[in-house]
Amino acid sequence: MRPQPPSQPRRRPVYLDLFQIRFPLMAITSIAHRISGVLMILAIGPAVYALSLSLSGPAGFQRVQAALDSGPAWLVLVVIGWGFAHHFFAGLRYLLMDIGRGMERETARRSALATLVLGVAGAIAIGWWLA
Amino acid sequence: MSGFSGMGAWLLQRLTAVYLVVFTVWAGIRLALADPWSYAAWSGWLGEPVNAALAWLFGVSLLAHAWVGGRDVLIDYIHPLGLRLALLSLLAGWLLGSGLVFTALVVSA
Repeated sequence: MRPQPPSQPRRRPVYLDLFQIRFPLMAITSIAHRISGVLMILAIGPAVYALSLSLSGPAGFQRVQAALDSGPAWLVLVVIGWGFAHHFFAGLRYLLMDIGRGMERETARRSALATLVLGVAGAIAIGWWLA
Repeated sequence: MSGFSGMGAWLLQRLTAVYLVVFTVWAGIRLALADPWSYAAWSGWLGEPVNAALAWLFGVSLLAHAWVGGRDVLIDYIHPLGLRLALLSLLAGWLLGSGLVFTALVVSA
């Protein structure tokens, strides 16, 4: 006798309340690595456009300088700056892990925290430098 | 899914990462020390063949790195096949287009 499919789909306990699940620091650092990477992919086109304008002549160079000095650009650059800083340090952390460094749970937790802090510190530094 | 997958992509992602780190640290220091900023200094810097070659290698590494990472993200989160292929094509076009413009800029600088 062939097994009959259950008349009702079996209800498995699913618990996906994202506000109740506690993400380990490593998971937050990891997802931020992806988010920062996607942000920078989106920035590639505008960055190449700004580069082409800046190399088109003294007038274009000044236009880029003026645009980068504006308020909205400052905010965008701080966000991209966070993305770069976080991705940079998270990437270094993964490269070190690839060669077997920092794999113990406590070390990994601390380096994850350090990566998050350095990412935010990078954003603050870039915002301060551009202000 | 083809287009740099498996072990090759894993290795490419790490080799490009190392070069991206080295170049951004070097260029970042160089940029921070350049004062005052001017068009002449900027275009002159990229006009040096060695700088242009290193910058071009940076651009190529960045685009390869972005392709491997972006492809991983799309494959992980976008499940409908048509949408996934559309976004992968968009990503490829975005990166290839940027790469062509960047190459033209570096060559003519």
